[in-house]
Amino acid sequence: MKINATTKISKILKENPQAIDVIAGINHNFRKLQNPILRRSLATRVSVADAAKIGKVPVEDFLKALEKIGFEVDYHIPDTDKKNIYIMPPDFSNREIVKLDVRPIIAQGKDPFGYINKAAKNLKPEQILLIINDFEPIPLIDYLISKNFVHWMKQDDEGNYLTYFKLNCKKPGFWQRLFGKKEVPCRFHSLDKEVSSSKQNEKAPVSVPHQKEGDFEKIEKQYDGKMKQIDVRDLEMPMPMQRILESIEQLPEGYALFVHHKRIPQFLLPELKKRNYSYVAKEIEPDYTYLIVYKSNS
Amino acid sequence: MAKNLHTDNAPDISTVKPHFLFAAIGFLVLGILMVVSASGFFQAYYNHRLLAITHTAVLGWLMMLIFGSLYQLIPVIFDTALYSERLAKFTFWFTAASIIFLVYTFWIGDYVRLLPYAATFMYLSLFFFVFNIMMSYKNARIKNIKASFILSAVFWLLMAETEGLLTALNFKFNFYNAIHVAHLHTHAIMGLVGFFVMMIFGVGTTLIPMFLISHRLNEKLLNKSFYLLNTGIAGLVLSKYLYPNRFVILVFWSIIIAGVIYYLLYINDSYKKRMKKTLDVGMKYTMLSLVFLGLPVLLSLILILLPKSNGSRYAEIIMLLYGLSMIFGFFTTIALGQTYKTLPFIIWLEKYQKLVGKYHTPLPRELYSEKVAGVQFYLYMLFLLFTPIALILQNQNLMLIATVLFLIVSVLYNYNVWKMFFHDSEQYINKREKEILKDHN
Repeated sequence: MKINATTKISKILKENPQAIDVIAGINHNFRKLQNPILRRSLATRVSVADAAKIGKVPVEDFLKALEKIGFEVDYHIPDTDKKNIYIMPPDFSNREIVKLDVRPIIAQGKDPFGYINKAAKNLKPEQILLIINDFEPIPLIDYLISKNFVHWMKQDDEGNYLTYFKLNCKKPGFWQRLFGKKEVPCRFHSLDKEVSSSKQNEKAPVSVPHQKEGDFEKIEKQYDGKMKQIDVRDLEMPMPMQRILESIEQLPEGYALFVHHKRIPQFLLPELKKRNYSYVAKEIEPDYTYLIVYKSNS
Repeated sequence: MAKNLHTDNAPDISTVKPHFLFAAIGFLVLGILMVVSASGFFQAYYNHRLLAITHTAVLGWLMMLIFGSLYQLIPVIFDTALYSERLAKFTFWFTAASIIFLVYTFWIGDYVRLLPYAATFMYLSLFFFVFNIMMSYKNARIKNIKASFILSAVFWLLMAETEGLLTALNFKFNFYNAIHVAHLHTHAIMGLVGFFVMMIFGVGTTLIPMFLISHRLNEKLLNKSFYLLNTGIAGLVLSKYLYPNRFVILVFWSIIIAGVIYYLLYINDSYKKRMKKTLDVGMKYTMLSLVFLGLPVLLSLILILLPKSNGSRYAEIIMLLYGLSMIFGFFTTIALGQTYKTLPFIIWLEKYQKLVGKYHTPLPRELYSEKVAGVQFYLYMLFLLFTPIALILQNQNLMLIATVLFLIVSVLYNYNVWKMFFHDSEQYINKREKEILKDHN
């Protein structure tokens, strides 16, 4: 397996579980990883570069250690380092601070997550939560951001990381208040469930995953030279649908259908799904959309 | 730019279909009511029989069509699923019951005992619809000018309904001093122009270029039309309430007309750039309806300029003609046209979508009788011609003939709708397969 500074630790551990001992051997800071709870919460989110930062070791040392147990290593480091600026933004100063030092908790081999979560839940909008730790708590920051917090971080003289969290309170704008657009409540977001249940959409979750940027190009490349093209823009309803469905029935194995369409054909989509086809789309201009229809893998 | 995609935006057929069925029956009932009370057309335009007929036409026929068509079109216009299909189904039954109740109330002319209840039920059912559309808009991923037309239309519907409800309740509780006829005017402006015209324009911006197959249209015309129409309607309603000065009303009237003209320019753009040169019966109706839009424009101008002498017989006839030209000249003509385009497509989707590419499938227009549709079209034109003549000449016999023509039209329309609903796709495919086999031998 080829790894570089951006590879996630979890991937490395999945490939070779012994890597955990190697990583723990790099620096005493990583011994915490041998704690399974901590490992579980850390490893999935943390990349090699993040881990090196947490362990205060150069990324190269980290990669070198992994190279020794058989990983293929790319030493090129993407330029992501940011200089830390230690000026506290005004909305973090002059507030009551709730301090939580997690170093003793970790030293006892316990997972600090529960303590932090409890403190975060009880935090009032005007208070600041300060987490003190001896490594940069990247997973924690990700977690609390997802729970509607904003953070600010600095390192003290002893090299400890002081991370400040406060609730993300935004005053609703004029239009937001007028039309009741969904506003972000100023509190701890308990579960993702909250968001989905409030939508109350009776539709079952869609089986075709949301298309991401670049998916169209990926599929286009994948079927390069193996695509049949049709242009249905000048056909009357429901001829475009008819032409598309007829064409996919006659596609040779492994081929995809490239359609020039006026828009994404909403009423065709459920039928494509039933026939086990997926699609990607790309809007070229108003009234002109590319569509690639291809056999679903599953 | 790649877009986020859903596959399941299209509504279930069981949500859409009942609306078209109710509308067809409503259209038939309308025909019967018109023949039965043909003499009602020669009384004051606000007599209870005419109110029953107007509300059958506007709610039982047109509103139901708009409900059904809009549920089907939400995915296309908003690029999102309808907010709640369960609510839509509930709304259908609730609305159906409310319409029957309301029309019955008007028919027997019971303003004091029943009307407040009927109006309340009607208000609730329309509110459910408006709520469903507004919530869908909230999730919409397309928020362009076409979507704005729809949104402002449902806003005016809510306004028209609120006023209708207040007027109806006032018959019983008398909480404000009002000339009910004056409220009838603002109710009609918001309902007919704010809701129906705006909604038909909004749906038309998607459907008409789609059926004419025209690309690259000048959407700026739509923007202008949208803002002019809304400014004009809001101004007209407010001035009727606060400052009913003829000049002010004329100014806002002109703003509305400017909005209508910009819209017609957009349609003209689409018509000129169309790929499909010959118009089928559905598009014939549609294009004609837009020409007929000139009538209410002219009549409303006459109404504004007419010297104020309340109770004048001429003014009342013109008022009645104005209402009829709107409901029958414009709305019903375009509704008949567009249902001959959308309904066959919806039924085709239901019956043939899964068979396409595997068997030889018919075109949507093969699901109904084009011959019947053609006859229906000409008879309807005759009705549109006879009605104003009968009213101007105050000729009761001619009016009776006109209403009988209308009844025949509604029977023919029902024939085609039921033919589509009972179309048997299996039978069709078997027949086609046999024919193909025969050709081979």
